[in-house]
Amino acid sequence: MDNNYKLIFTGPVGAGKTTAIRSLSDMEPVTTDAVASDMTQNIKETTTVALDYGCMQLEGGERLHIYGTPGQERFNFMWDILAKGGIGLILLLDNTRSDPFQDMHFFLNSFREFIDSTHLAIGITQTDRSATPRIEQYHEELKSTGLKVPVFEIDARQRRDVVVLVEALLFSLAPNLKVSA
Amino acid sequence: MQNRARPATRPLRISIIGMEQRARDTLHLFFRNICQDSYVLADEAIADISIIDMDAVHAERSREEHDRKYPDRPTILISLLKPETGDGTFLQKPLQSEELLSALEQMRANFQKPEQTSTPDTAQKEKAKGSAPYNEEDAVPPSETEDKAQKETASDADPALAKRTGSTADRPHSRSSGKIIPLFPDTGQSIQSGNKEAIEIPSAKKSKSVYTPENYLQGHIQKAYQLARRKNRNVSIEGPWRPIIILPETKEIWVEQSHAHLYALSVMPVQPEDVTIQVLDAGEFPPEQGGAIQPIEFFLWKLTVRTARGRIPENTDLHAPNYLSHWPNLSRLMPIHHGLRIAALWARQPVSLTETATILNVAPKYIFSFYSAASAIGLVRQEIKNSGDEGPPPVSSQQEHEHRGLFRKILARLRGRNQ
Ligand SMILES: Nc1nc2c(ncn2[C@@H]2O[C@H](COP(=O)(O)OP(=O)(O)OP(=O)(O)O)[C@@H](O)[C@H]2O)c(=O)[nH]1
Ligand SMILES: [Mg+2]
Repeated sequence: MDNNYKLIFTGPVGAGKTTAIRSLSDMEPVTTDAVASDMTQNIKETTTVALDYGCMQLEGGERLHIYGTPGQERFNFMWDILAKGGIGLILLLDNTRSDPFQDMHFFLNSFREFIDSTHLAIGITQTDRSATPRIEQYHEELKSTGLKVPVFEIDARQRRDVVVLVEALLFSLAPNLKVSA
Repeated sequence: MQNRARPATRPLRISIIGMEQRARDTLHLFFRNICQDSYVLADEAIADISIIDMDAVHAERSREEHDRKYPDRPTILISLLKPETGDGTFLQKPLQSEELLSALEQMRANFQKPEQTSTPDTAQKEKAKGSAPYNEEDAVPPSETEDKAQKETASDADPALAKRTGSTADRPHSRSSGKIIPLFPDTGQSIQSGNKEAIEIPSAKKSKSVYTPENYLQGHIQKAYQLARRKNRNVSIEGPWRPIIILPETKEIWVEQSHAHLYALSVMPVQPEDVTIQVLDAGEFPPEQGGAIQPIEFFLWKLTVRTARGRIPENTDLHAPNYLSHWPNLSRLMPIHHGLRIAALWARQPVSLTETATILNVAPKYIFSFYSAASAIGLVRQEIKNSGDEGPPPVSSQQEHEHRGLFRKILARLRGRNQ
């Protein structure tokens, strides 16, 4: 039985999507990093051009498919298709980018319908490299959107951080969810 | 024909109202093992005595309804806080076995008076049921699944609380040696249900569920932080500790002493007259060397968890909705058991402490810790509730998300239980 449950990661180039998915996935994520021959501008060494895919095997034979959108905006025609049927959205934002708030609003607008029908959790990465903006400034910025969502400082390379963020998303969807031992 | 003047040995039937399953299970075990079945849990309609948990959602309403239906029934009210007006028998949580037993025994004495009869309502229902003194169907069996679900996970256990729990074993207790089990899970232990396990109740003195932050380092730091923000200047706090300086601009705190040392000071009462809070001159910073700087939010959160130890500041209203201004940065703050769930609930809508316990089925001490820590860093405030104004209906504990089963499996996987 393969129910098509999906968790979506999104965010700008270099926010840590591929890294986060790798830390959750049972297998090495299928990624399309650096395969594009038409990639002319080198923003970073490798970038995801189509999408990332990872998977978590669950008890009872079900699977959670984890998708990461490509960071580059020119690929955003895929986002709608990708998000369809997803249980929620994880938005990763790179704190070292020139305007992380603008990034945030861009992704919130792009996924607004999906977010409204599911839920959102935001992870701020690279805070070890840039301490500002601070988390409360993100919350301040979020006020105008009417979204009261978890915003956590995370390092995408640390599985524990990614796990806390995903847990926050799940509990946002169902606060009275109990973990069975 | 049933006999109204029952022999003294007949088990008295106790109905419990507004309690979660775990608490009912505990009472069931307590009555069976400690009281040797001289009391049994029974359906509300046929009970002799009722115990009502006044911290439950709509407790007042349930109580009124109960009193209307069974005006003559002896009733024990239990709550975390003492009621303002004291009619009826009241017991404060955490419930102590001796107190409960003595209240019940007093009531039993009344039942043995020959003139004592059941209320008409009760009598009618009893007839309808064919009235065996104790019907097995009415008893509430313990559920062990609930207990398992409450166990802490490695990822979010609160070490401070864990330590405290451990020390319970050292408490003196009234009965012969064996397992010590509090009547309610509030003290952090889980219920050991089993056939012949002896259940022992600690007779330790009542732990209070409120504290006064102003009497501890926590309160002094909060006060200094407020001043620092108001003046937008660095502020030093002097007292029976090495120098502490608050830096409002970067929202950081500098401490000369090791953190371990300061956290150890957290429970030591320090009166305001022993503390000096001083606004520093502009440009006066902590020394470049020595000490440690960290976000004040992290420090204050952790210090509060250590100070509160499962309690709430006095004057906290158990029934007022708690308004969470935004999620705490829970990936970096010291974990509080169930913290993610409490934050998720309060981010949806303001919910009172008592309702939170019911909806999430979580021991109050965790909710109290979270409340204390979140309010210390200014993230939660209580909304004034007009009497009679119930507010929006909270997420019910029964309400299920369609993917609930899936979420549970994902959580189990994330926490590494089902690799
Ligand atoms: N210093 C630091 N590095 C991080 C952090 N999180 C992720 N990284 C690193 O940042 C780099 C970018 O991460 P990726 O996972 O490739 O980012 P991405 O979102 O997939 O990027 P695109 O595919 O280009 O959209 C990797 O080298 C990560 O190891 C963090 O919190 N701090
Ligand atoms: Mg990538």
